[in-house]
Amino acid sequence: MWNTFPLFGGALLLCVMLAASYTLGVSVWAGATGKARALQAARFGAYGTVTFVAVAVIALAYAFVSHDFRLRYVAHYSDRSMPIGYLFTALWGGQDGSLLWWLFLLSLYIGACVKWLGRRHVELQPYIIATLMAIVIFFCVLMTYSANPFATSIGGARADGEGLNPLLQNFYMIIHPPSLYIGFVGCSVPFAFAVAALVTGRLDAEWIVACRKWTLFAWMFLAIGNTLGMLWAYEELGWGGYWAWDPVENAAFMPFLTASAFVHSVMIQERRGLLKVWNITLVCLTFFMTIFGTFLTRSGAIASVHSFAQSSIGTYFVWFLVFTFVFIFTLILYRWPELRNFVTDDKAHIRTLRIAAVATGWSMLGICAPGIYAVTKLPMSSLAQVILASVLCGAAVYTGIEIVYRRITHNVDYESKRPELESIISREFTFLLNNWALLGFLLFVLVATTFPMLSEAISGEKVTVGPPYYNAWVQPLGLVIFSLMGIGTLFGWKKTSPSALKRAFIAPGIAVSVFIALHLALGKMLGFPAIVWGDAIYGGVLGTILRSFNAFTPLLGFSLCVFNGAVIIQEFVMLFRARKKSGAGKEGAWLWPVGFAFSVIAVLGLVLMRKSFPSATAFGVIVIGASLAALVAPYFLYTLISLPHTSRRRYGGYIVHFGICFVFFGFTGKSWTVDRETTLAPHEHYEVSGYDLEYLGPRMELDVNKRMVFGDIAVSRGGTRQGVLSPAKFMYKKMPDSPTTEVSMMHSLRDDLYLVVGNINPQTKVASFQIHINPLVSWIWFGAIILIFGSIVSMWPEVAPAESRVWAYSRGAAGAIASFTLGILLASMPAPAWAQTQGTSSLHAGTVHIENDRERSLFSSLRCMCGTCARDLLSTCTCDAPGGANEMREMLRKKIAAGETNDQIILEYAQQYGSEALSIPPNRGAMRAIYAVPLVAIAAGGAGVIVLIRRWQSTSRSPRGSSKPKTSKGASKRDDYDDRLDEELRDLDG
Amino acid sequence: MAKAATPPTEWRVDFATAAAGISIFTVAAGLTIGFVFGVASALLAFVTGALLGAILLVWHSLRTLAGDAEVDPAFEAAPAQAPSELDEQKRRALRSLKDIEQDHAVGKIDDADFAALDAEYRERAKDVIKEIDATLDPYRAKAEAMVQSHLEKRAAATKAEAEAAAAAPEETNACAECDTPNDTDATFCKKCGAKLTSES
Repeated sequence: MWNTFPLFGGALLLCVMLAASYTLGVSVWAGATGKARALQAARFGAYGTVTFVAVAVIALAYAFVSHDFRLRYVAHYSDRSMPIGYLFTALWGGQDGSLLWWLFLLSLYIGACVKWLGRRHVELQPYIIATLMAIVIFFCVLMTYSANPFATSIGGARADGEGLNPLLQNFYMIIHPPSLYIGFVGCSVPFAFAVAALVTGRLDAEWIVACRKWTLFAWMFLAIGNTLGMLWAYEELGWGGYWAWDPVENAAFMPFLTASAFVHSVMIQERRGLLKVWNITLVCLTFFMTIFGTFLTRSGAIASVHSFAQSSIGTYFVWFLVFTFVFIFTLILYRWPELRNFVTDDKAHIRTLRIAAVATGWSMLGICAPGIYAVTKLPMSSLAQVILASVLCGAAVYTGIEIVYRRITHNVDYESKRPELESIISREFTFLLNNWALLGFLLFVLVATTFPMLSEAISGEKVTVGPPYYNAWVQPLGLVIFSLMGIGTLFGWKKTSPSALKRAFIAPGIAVSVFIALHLALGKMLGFPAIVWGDAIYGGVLGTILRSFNAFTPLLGFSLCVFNGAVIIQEFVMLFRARKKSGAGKEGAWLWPVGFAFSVIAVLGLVLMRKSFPSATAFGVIVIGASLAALVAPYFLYTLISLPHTSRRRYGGYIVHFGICFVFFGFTGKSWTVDRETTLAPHEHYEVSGYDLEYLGPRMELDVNKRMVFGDIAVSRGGTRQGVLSPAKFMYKKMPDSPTTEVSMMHSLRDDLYLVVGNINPQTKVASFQIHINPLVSWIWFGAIILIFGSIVSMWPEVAPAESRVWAYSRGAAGAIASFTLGILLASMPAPAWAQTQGTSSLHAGTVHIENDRERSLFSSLRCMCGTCARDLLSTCTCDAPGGANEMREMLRKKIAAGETNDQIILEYAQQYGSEALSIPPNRGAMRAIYAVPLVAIAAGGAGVIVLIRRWQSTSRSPRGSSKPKTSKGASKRDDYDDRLDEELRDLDG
Repeated sequence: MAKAATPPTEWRVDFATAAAGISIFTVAAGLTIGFVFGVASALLAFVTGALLGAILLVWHSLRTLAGDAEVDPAFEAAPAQAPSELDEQKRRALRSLKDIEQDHAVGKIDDADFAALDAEYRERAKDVIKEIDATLDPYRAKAEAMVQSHLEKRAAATKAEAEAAAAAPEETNACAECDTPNDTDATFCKKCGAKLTSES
């Protein structure tokens, strides 16, 4: 045994820190002096740092493989019996190691980025490297001082480790965190570009073009990570759903929202030179959100928000966030003149402006802080305080900015340099709306996620927000974004002709009206009624409004899917028509026979596999879909790949949107979810949603480390046997008291049958089952695959003009095949369905017996207040502690039996335990802030968009107006410049 | 080793060779050890190799900083100017023209609007190009003047050279012993070795 190994590991971390600090210094020096050798030294320093990180990771892997249980981390997350594959996954199984893993992925990015930069963007390079190094240093400090994976156990080496949590030992858990991390970490690269642009003052479209691929890559992995997270929750956790609005899930979702907003808004800057401040802010916000997300997941506060930032690691994150904010805020203020397109040669004037901007910005913030503090001390109701504080803050911010703005535009011809907007009916405008909606949604999720902190600050009660609240509010917000996605596509850049717009609305409009009529008429018959009334989350007017809106969600969701899908198909039809008109459509026409051949092969193959399909309709749908797809695919892919790269980005984006349509289609299925609980004796039948379930009886199996009890259920539908499902309980020898729940599922395009077995009585063989019918869930995974494919199309490297078409096509085909394979792999990997208690948390463990829908709605709005669990909902919590969920449920059942209404019971419960015992914050007093603040902010944002549009329009009308007659005259005759222009236009897209 | 024959001071390994050597050696050693002794030992080999690599990289970085290593000439070149406001405007105008064209092609902008927008943006792009040309004109004139003066200088130089060449034979430092023409600054005859009479 290598005695000094722990010391060696610690020294490695110090080496990384040292190398990173050295590189940071050298690169800043390179940036400041422009010395070539300093830049090259910085590049090599960056490579060196990256390699040191790799050494540290390999060293930790060595410690796992050689079972060096002197290391606390190794002893905690592995044991001698673990297979070697899981020993490697243990690298990110716990907090300390996952930070090192974070750092490792970051350093992979740094290596790739420095390599990619090569001789490009020589001015930005030093600061890009410096920023990335600063992030590396932060993680090093974090590990060295607070979460060192090489730290030794106080008690010395143990004989054997504790082993990795079985929950983590499965396929999705292996790939889901790393893919999410890849997305998280990837957001650092665009952030580094933004910082470099700010420091050098090169704030034109350069940095945006430079980091576009990096942004898209990170975005794609955020999407993949979130989807895999959903899959994992769905397959493993056994509570019948895929998204629970857990703080951790929200933390992963929020950067995705800001990154989506950024991906859209940069296009405006590229074309108009507008929104420079906004884009910088979005990039920084995305980075902030990723750090915030890591903070939420890794500060030891995963299961609940109650122990928020209490471990020491949280403090480091908070300081890092504060430091980053101060740095970025100052930098943005310093670059204010450039960001507002203010150009002058008068250096002294610029300097005054910079100082003014920085001073105003900071004093503005300075004024706000004591102001808010003073407001909270005022003798008035909490709601009034919140509103007053927001108004005060807003006013201070606005005044500050206005002063800076006036100062900048003081006696300078500024207006004429402002870019302008021709028309409101343009894509620019819809992109603004998109940003507004996405950020509004972000704010909503952010406020709800951090509400425990906010509510404690406001009223001293930590109120945690549960899924019912989100589910009620998210439907209107999500559908607004979704509808904007479809409508925005119909608009063109600059200006859309109203006649063309009307024409574009016709086909999708007809499609959607036909669909709505059909849905209203046939929906109920097919089991998908158009209107579904649920429970109101609040009493009173607001509750009624939300409930009425949400009742229409199925209809709205479905019809928007149809509308958006039709819009995108129409977009592609228009593309192909335009290509045909211009003669480009003939290229690759030879692919039609190829497609036909594929189609025939696909049909033949499917006919041979006829037996494996559960029903004739499913078979028909798949045959038609597959043959059409195979027919169109070759020509379609060829066209996509041979498009010039700007168009390819656009149509790749449309494919992403198409994928999102399917995802929303799947989400809509949530409205028709059926949840049942039943107890069955052997050979008893149970009918639910057209399924006939027959309980065949219990079955027991044994293996080396567990006892497995299955409750076999034969499933038939319409009289034909579909198969046997075997939900199970696994009793591990190591943890005999907490049996794990094994979900068993039957997937189909229509719905998933999701079975969980509760208790099985060994004497009577009677078993209790939870049965969930989750309609349309498969479509979510399908949509995610299309989304990944679309983003790969958008990111596909530009084909150099020198490359031949054949080469370009084969590259394209390779890319398409690779992406499809990846997608299918992700979707169809047969993963054993596990579900089990995680450490001390009782999150989603075991099964809860719920007798009817009324109980379900009551239990899901109350929290378990036993004090041992993480205040889970009574509908999921399984605590047996005194005063725990089981006792509570019994008590509540008695109240129901005594004839009390749900509202009465909730009120009594709240009086007994305080508002924090509710999963939906009550609609009164300061608790209103949870939805009032986002809504007010969304409204204010809307007003801001309107003001912005008016300002842009006014600049377009006033100064350029005089040049209008000239243009109409100039259009008639061509001159030399026209030829030059045509030439440059030809070269623009290569 | 072949290089051992040369004196030790001449023995040098450049960075690329060392880096390639370390990586190849590490991978080979790691795989071999992995097959023979198992994964743990292989990981140790990788740790060693990567550590050597990291040290090499940092060392090379320090050498570059100290000026001992070659610097990529691309970094030496004068830093590229940030695209000027005019360049940006031109790029945007071109982008807009392209967008308008595409949107017209797929039918988002009808013919009348297209004509107006296209004309306006063409005009704008032309204005920007003209403006760029105008800002470039002084430089162009300067460049031309420089070329002109350079050409003149060269013409003068060639003339002078030709004259010098014509005059050269007279200035040849012929050897007094064997009559071989020698360079003017030669001290001894290149044929017979006799001392030449100094002219200066």
